[in-house]
Amino acid sequence: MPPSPSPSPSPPHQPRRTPENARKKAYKEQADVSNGRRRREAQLLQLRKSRREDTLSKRRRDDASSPSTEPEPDIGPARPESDPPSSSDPPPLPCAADADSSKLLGIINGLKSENISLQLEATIKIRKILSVDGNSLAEEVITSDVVARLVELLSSKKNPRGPQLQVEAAWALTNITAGPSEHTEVVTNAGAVPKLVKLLESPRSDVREQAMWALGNIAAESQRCRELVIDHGGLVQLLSQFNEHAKVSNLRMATWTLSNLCFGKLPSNSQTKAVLQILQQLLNSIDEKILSDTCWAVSYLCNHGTDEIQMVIESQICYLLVKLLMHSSPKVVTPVILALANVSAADDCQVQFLIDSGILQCLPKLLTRNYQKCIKNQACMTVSNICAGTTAQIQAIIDAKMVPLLIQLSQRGETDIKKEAIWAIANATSGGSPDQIRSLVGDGCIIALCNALVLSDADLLYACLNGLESILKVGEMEKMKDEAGTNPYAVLMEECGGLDKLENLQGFNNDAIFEKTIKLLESYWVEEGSENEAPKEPSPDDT
Amino acid sequence: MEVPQETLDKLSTWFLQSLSLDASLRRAAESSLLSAATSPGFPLALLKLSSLPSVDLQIRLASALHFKNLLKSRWAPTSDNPLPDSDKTLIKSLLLPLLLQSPPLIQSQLSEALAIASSHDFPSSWPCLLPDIISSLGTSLSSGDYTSVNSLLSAANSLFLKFRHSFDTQALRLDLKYCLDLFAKPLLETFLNTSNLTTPAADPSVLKPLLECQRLCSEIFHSLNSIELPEFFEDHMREWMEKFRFYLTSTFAPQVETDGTADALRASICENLQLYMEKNEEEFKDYMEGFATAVWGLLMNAAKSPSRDQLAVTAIKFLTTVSTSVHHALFGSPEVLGQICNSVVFPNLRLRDDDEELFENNYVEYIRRDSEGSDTDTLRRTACELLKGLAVNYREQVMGLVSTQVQSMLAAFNTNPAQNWKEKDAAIYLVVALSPKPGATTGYLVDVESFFTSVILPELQGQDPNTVPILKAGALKFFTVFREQIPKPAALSLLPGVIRFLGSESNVVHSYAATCIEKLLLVKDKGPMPGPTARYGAADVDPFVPQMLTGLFNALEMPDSQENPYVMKCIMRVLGVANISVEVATGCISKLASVLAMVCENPKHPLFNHYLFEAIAAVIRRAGERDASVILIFEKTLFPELEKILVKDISEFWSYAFQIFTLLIDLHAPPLSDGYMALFQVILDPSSWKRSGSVPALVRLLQAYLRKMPNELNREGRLGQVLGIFSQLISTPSTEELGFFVLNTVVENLSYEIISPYISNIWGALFSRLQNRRVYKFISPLLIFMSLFLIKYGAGVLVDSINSIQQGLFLMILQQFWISFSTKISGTVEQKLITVATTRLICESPLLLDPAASENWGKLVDSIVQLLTNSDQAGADFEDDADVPETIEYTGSFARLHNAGKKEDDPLKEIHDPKQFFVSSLSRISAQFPGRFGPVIQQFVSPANQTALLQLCGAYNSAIV
Repeated sequence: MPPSPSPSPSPPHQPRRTPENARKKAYKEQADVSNGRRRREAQLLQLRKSRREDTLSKRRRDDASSPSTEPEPDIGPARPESDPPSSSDPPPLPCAADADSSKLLGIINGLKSENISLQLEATIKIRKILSVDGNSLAEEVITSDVVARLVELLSSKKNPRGPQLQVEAAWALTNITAGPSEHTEVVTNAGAVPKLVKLLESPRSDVREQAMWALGNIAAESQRCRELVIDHGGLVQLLSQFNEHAKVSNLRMATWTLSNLCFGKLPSNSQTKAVLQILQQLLNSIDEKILSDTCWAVSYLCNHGTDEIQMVIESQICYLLVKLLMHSSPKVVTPVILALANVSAADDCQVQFLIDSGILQCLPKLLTRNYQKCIKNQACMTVSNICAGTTAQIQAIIDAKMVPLLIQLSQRGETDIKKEAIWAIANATSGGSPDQIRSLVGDGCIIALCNALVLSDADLLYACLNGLESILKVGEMEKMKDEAGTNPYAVLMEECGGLDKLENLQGFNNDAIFEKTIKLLESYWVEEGSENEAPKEPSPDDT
Repeated sequence: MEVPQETLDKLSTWFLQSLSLDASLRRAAESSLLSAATSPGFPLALLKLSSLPSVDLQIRLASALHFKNLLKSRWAPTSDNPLPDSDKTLIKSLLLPLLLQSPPLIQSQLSEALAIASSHDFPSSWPCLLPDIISSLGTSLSSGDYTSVNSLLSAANSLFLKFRHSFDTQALRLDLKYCLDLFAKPLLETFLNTSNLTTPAADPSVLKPLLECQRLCSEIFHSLNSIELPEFFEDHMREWMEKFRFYLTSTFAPQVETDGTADALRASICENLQLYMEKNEEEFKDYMEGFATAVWGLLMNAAKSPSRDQLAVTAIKFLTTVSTSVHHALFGSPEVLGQICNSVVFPNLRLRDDDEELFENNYVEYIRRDSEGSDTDTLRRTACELLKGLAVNYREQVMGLVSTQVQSMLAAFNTNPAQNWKEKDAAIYLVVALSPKPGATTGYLVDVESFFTSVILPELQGQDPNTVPILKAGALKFFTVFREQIPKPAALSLLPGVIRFLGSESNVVHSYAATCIEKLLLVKDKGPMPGPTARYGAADVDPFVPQMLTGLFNALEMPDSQENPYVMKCIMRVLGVANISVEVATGCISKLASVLAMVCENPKHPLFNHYLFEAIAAVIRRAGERDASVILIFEKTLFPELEKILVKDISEFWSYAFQIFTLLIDLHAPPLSDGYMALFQVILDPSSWKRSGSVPALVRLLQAYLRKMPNELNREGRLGQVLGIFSQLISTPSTEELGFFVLNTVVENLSYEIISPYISNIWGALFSRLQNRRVYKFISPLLIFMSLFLIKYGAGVLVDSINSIQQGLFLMILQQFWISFSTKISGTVEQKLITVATTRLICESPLLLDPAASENWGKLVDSIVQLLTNSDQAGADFEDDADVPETIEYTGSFARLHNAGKKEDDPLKEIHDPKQFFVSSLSRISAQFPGRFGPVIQQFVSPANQTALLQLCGAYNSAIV
């Protein structure tokens, strides 16, 4: 299978703002500010095509790569599903089916023999068949019989050539589990998991490495498979691989396998804590591949909920992650910003840790420099989530001089980032104190929010209307200060064409938005000057 | 579905009669239908009747309509009289097949009915609907029956519309996923199969339903893609986009091109392109350039038809989006920019023939489009938006192009003004559209000042108000838009010209002239303190007032302008600003009275009528405040008309009439004449209070009477009637505040001797209501009333009169409500009242000065200090404000009680500073009992409030000993 030519990655299970909040507010006209957390947290059903990070990738080990020298294909967000077939091992020539079958029969007989040399020879042949993508024999090899035998061979007797046989058998299983789900199922049904876990105790690093590879593929299959590995003690064994004697290649493999196990929720908090302890150490690694997979593991953990996020924070990881935001490789920065974006969707105290870790010094750099779109997008979402926080947190955004940057992003740039920037502005204005709102207005937030009123995204529109409402309320206070005159912010809105856009929103077919629009129009644009007229009853204005 | 024949016959007869010209027959039939509506199976009978081919089509249609309306009002489970589930189940099983069999007229009613029912029940309570649609769709497609195909698609379309505008929730996504799983594939198949049948040159009768089908597919595409790009659509994007492009770039048989069928499809496609630009920029980017070219090609095609205009609007919007996206460079080269401006933007700025028609035949609509922003979907406006979009990234180039264009339009005009006036009109439009409104920081795309002098001034100074009226209208609009920038002397010198235009025969021109004057009078200057002041005062306006009013009242005589709201609004504004003589005022009132007489015949234009009453009120107040004697003249002129409103029961005007009466009474020197006494009887009649809309106005009127002649109340049992009205008002949440206004006014104006016979009834009504309504909205005005009562009659009377209901009641009220809620009172006057009342309570009432009551005493001190601290932060404490919206409402309503804006209505004028009053009273009472209150305060006042109290004492040099 060639690597799929997919566009640049989008986040896994993109966290979302809570529309329930918007709804609640829409129906009960209560204060927008009080429960003003418009963060993305609920994981909504995904209708989109899955991106590469939404599912884990498996890896086949081809013939040329030895686990100790070249185990790692491109780690990181883009994990190709296989390395290109090596030229040193040309695919078997297409031959007559009969010939294939008879050859296969020979191999299987060898496999079943009690002679370790024959076993080894047969196993090597099998894994060679399986190392090549699209080999027509592969389907025939992957039968329960053959797989069961391969699994048996994992626990071969003490014999000088035993470890080699174990490696070869695990290799073959690795390549089977790199295939479709049905193949993986044959392997797990054959009871491979406990035996592979057992191999993690092997004194030989090549055996351990190949076993981890197979387990990594199995863990990538499904949550059920991950639980299977963990239930057989795989996680504990895996964690013990991280010690000062381990070779780099072993560490890389262990980290990758660990990150796959972290993709799903771990069964207990104590396990999560143990994993985090290792991850915290690994974050200091200088090896880019280890670092990248470590960060992926953290980002997966952060995706599981606020409990996990709290544990991440308690294990002192935030500070390290924030430092890694400035790493030179996007393979590191991508999982880091995904992890931090997830933390930013948590509660106020947890968000405060991000701010205390200095994230606001890094985010502007991510937003202004030449980073991939998905990184910028996540960075901007992180900002918008922080903007949905307390007034102190909004102040931190203002103090970091991020508002002009957000305004700029909201006007130009890719639409995804534009929208994130508008979310940020809408959140900050909805929840800001009067002074903060004055400062936000001074930076040009009114125009940015007004320009967004033509979008078709109901949630974002509602957020913008909330932001504008807060601004207009502060405008009323300004008006009172002047003892007379007009709401200066209403005037600004009119001048930038926002009033026209607001009036058009009356045609937007959503009750909550309609009502909010009418409320704004009626509260702030009542008939000019009519407050001076004698009868003060509301006019039965038809229009 | 078995419906007895006799039921069907009966229904047929009723529907036939309901269409009769004979009103009595019609009404009888309608009431029969109404009474039958609740009988079981009624909706099914309607459905059956509407689907019987043997029945007359008129009757079927009436029945279908009735059916639809019934569903609208009763399908929702929350409606007043919801349909029984058994009926609903039957309807759901029958509706789709019946709809498919029906002729188009009936079908459209039944489709709406389907949409109503499905909006509640689909998909979870109507699981077979979509599968049924899909299976019928398959059958109809394979038999090539596009009439059915389109009916089915249009039904499906109505199911999916909700995905476009709803909030993104898990529930919505689950519904959408269900629809996608079932429908995405059949939709694509339908679209592709149909497109294979579409040969551009085919016979129009074949082509038309095919294109209509594709339009529906395209609409459904939009709905299903609104939340995010579904996997299926991403996988099949190429297929969709290729066909979309095919329809944008092919030319079909002339008939479907001219009747709009093809353009409707294309417009829908353009909306999808717009959607993809907004939602899926990245996935869409490979198609963008191709579509930009295709869309641009469409716009270059000069075909002119209403459908093409609509298409052009959506097409230009798509280009605008591209121009502001990261892909703007597509348009960035000077050649492309020039081409877009010259062939897409500028040609669309010119006034079209239908605009001209509108100018002459429907000035209201013309004005709405031309200057009130309802032109968002006109070509002119859309074209200007594209220009602005291009200017975001290519400002200099666009400015250059615009300036050249304006010059060339003006040059064309100058060579032959009579023929080329549309060029000048377009130039004015362009300049107004591109100029940011006053004060904006984005800067101008054109030089406004020189344009004003060279282009606008000559029009405004023209002597004949009737030549090329559209240009006059444009010039007036320009003046209005830039009114703040035009210096005062220049504006005043132009005023006679504007007034002259009031006499133009063109409704648009005299409306614009009126609007221009009206807006000019609202211009404010940000002068030195205290804030902005009106730029044009009475002294500036007075010299022009006679001509203005003559011109304005003359304009009201012109055809179609008898109820011109712009003119009436201007009259209102002028009368509100100018100082007018008694003669002018009486003249105005008689003119306004005759207008009132006219609109009383048939009130149809609420806005005009509102301004009319505003104008009448303005004259009365401004003239009456200066010389109360004119009130008598006004009364004479106005009373007949106002009485007519009451006698003829013109309900629209009731609250206006009461307000005018209120104003007249307020300004009237006592005693009031007999007419007023007769009116008084009317308002004391409980039936007058049944119309909820006029209750606030009635309350104000009642207050005016109470203030003006409190003693009259004591006669003929009137006070009892008033208190009856009070208890009626407080019995419903929507009017309870008004009830308190009545009560407050009574207490403010009457002595205790007069109300003492009623007092136990009053407390009884209030406290029994309180038992069921322990909410801030009720408690707050109750505390205000009690405060007012205490201030007016003394603490002893308050305590004793309450305790006379039930011993110990006052303390209970105090503990449960007064202490905890008084800190939450908002509004300056209200806070002052409660502060002063509480202070007097703790300093005067033996009940509270009793050492046994020290806990209550201390807590009351605590709440006063708390309230005073809160009030310091009012306004600054923004978030709390937002938490309790009732607070804001309440402030407004109490102000209404005291006839807001009139300072003399503060019932505590003698106390300037409630803090000082509190501190000095406390200090005085503590001097009487030295050493007693210190410990109480320490025990019952919170530490923070103790500190605040100390600061207060320091601030006023007082001490608690």
